[in-house]
Amino acid sequence: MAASMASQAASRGLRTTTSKHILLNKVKCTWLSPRRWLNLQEYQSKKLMQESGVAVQRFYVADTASEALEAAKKLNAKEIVLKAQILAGGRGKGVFDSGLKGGVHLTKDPAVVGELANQMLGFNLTTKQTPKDGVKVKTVMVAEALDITRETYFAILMDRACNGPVMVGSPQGGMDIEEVADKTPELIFKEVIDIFEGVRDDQALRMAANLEFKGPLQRQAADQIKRLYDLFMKVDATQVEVNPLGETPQGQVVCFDAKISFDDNAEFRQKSVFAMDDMSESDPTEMEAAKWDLKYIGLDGNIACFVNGAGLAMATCDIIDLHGGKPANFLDLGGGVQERQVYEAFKLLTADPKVEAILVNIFGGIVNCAIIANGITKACRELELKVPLVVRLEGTNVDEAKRILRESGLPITAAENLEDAAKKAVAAIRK
Amino acid sequence: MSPPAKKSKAGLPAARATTLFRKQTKAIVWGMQTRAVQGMLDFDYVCSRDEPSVAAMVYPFTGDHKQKFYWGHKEILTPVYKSMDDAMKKHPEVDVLISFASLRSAFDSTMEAMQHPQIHTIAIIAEGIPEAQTRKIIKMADEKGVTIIGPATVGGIKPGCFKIGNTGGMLDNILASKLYRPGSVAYVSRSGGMSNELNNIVSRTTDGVYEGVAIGGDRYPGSTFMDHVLRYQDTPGVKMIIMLGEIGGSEEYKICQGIREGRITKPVVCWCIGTCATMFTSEVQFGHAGACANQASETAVAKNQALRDAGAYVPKSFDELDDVVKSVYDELVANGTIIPAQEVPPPTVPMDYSWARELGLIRKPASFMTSICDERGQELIYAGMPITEIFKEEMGLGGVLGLLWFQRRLPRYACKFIEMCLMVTADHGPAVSGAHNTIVCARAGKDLISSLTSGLLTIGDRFGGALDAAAKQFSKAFDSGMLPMEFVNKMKKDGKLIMGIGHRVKSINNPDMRVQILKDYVKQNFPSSVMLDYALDVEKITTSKKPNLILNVDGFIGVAFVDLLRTCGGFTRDEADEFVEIGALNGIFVLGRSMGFIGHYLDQKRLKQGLYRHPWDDISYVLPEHMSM
Repeated sequence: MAASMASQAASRGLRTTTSKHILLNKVKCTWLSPRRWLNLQEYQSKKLMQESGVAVQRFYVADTASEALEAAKKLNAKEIVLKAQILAGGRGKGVFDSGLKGGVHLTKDPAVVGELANQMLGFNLTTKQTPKDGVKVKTVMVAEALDITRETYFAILMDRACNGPVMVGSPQGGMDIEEVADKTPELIFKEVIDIFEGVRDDQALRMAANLEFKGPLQRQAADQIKRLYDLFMKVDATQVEVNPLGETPQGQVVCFDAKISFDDNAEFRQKSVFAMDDMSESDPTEMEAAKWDLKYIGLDGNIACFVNGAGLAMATCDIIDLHGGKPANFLDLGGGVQERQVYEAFKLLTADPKVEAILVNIFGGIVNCAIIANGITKACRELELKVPLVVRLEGTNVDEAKRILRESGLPITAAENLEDAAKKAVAAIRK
Repeated sequence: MSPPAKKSKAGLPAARATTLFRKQTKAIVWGMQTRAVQGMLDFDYVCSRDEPSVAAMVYPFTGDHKQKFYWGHKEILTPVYKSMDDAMKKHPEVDVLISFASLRSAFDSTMEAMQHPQIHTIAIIAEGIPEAQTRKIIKMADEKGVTIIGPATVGGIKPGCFKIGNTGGMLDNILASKLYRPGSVAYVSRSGGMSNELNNIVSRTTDGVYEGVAIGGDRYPGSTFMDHVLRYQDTPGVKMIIMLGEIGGSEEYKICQGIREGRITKPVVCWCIGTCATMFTSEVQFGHAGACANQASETAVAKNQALRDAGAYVPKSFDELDDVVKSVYDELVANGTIIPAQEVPPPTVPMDYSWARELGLIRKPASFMTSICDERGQELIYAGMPITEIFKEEMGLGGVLGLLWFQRRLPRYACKFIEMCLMVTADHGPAVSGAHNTIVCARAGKDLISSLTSGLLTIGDRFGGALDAAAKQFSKAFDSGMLPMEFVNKMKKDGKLIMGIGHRVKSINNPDMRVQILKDYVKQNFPSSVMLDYALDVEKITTSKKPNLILNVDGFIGVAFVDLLRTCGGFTRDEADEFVEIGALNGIFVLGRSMGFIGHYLDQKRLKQGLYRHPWDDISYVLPEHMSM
């Protein structure tokens, strides 16, 4: 879907990366993107690239119209592109509630930039990928628009099969790479990188040649490739995708647009990168859950799941699905569950109006089931639980836990095993 | 210990061992995880191992020391080393490292461990190790022929031989799932939670677990499903294999290939969880970092079908996994492949005291009791009152003292009176014996506590102790119905001093303002002051004899406090008497005067006063003239 708009817009340096996942079946590479990846605004990604010496268009960032105007003048460029900074894609065709059409504007006259920015900043931009009311634009990017004579595709990613970083490139840039891989697999090139060694000169040059950079551009491209790899390692990325990596009529190799995915696990040593995370577009329930060390993911069903261990949580969702129900969420309490966590988890679940029943599935390995049972009864009483509750407990001290639930006098349905629990939860909703 | 099955040829990666754990396997545990280590030792004990599996622990944040553990009924000491090098050198028999290092330090400690050729297996428990680091760990492990279990795992278990950390849960679970002796079924799963579930299923449907490994939920586990399935294939004791896969990745296809190529010949029961993911329109990342399908072939549904096609035993749903396991097992028993062994009851491991108590199995009289303060809950509680409420109600110092000393919430006037008593007793100059002692002590360079206690130690019958004595004397006289005159006469006749009467300088004409303030307050606020009135009657008589025989501050507080205890309505007469009896009143003086003593201490330090030496001319030396023999 992106291919059509890509060629036209990208040549002007517009952001074209789609949020769609790119699958390179043919080259046996797997793109991995955790669901809650760290999302960076375009200007933030470009700043990171700039810091690693990657060639990007000259740009400024502005929070006010006057700053934008000032930036446009300072750029002193033949042509200027003004871009509203939001995380959602489809900006080019978006509409502002100020009436302005298009989140991306090209102009040769720096004087109009202030006026345009005035109609962007503080207004909501609605695109195909935003919520209905759009997303408020707080920042704009003012960049030099460059012409592109040729577009290539280049990416570095962590690959399971190769047990390390892999570079993937294609001379067919600027368009949907999935399509390229599908139709002309011979135009996809792959280079496995030794994680201890990094990118070797011969590898970078070979890739540059494969991308069909000629003459002096080849060395320039190879240099860019090495710098992109440095960036990839420096920021703990799981993927750096440059599309297009292009050349200008002036004979420069430039990264026109890039999408960087980060390794969540590296947050502790990438404080400055993660500090850029704009949480305003994140789910508040997930954030609240994280406070209590709970892993929560909202889904669109109506049976809330409450499970310890990611695997068991997944299996629980499966069995609910199998018996005709739909999970409302995925909630993993982790291995060492505390009574307080149980209470907070219940609070989260009951606050969700979609939830029509709650299914608890806990296997107490190192956890005492009685603690869970106490947490459940306490939460039920204090939160005045309105929806049916089905509980399956197994493991350490389970008999005591069952006794606590039985004698609590609360309307709790006990289940013998996972299947029984799922059936009872689904039945509770049908009633 | 048998030599590991590996020899690295130049350039070629070393081969990994088929058998990771034996009944003699010894491990080093990285990290101060005493609970997990005790769990391992208890497991070893129920498995009838000859020796504990944990040879040593490594913990860089303390010095070398020994940690106490239980081995059955006995207590044993396990060495803890600051340096991994030392631990390895001192325990050359160790070939397993169990790393409880945090996600920040796991990389360094794992890489360090791999520099020691004695280590063949490393279990990494930490979840959330950056991918770039895991990649390096795996690459190094490949080169060295080390088997990595994890990261992000609970570990694994080999009944009768070895248990990694918390795998299998607490001892109750181990016993319930018969994990103390080997069965014929080996499994590999991703998560620890599911391995509990599998232990349960396998123990119910077969002769038990031979070995089970949870490879961990990371995108890039250090060892894969296939690594372990192949080990199981090559292990004679394993008769059937269970693999619990997951949405995401393509590892499961290697099993398919292995079956097709005849590399895997033992029956394999498989299930991939995450089948529900297909019903969500958006892509869902399930808890495990690796659990995300990025293409159609990575979905659980597709993988289950592929496994089924390859000839694995795949149930229709996770529900039916146990049925399939049972039918495969039953067939193996029927055709004679498996001959279930005779059950031998495991040795009993004594239950931990704290656990038994949590389960309500035992009770014991406490050797310590308290009825005034509880710090265990969400909030600090003084005699039943949460600290927030104490502040909300503005109970003040007097109120807190009422709660902690008398277990009562005293009326406001009483609280204020206590505070006033503390204020007037706070200090009485540097010359009194207590302050003097404090000052001398402070000037000798001693610390605050020494100086304060040095002053407090002078408090007794002669200094400050008159409160109690006065309260006792006056109330005894009053209660026995003696008239004030009779009381004074009796004391005179017995040759006793009336406590709380008399002042060095103050007199009826030069009243003590402290007493004056307190007297006005009591008269205005106390519902009754019979004891004070009685004492004032006594004072009338004594001052008529000598003007300085007034009711002094000690005496006043003593009697007024008796009035307070008897009439504020919070105490029975017996309780009121008991408080006087056990020295509550003296406490007021001690507490009040401590303020003064501390003041004197700080004052002396501030003034930089040097060591005090009493001048000779102020000492009269009256030694015997001459000691002649």
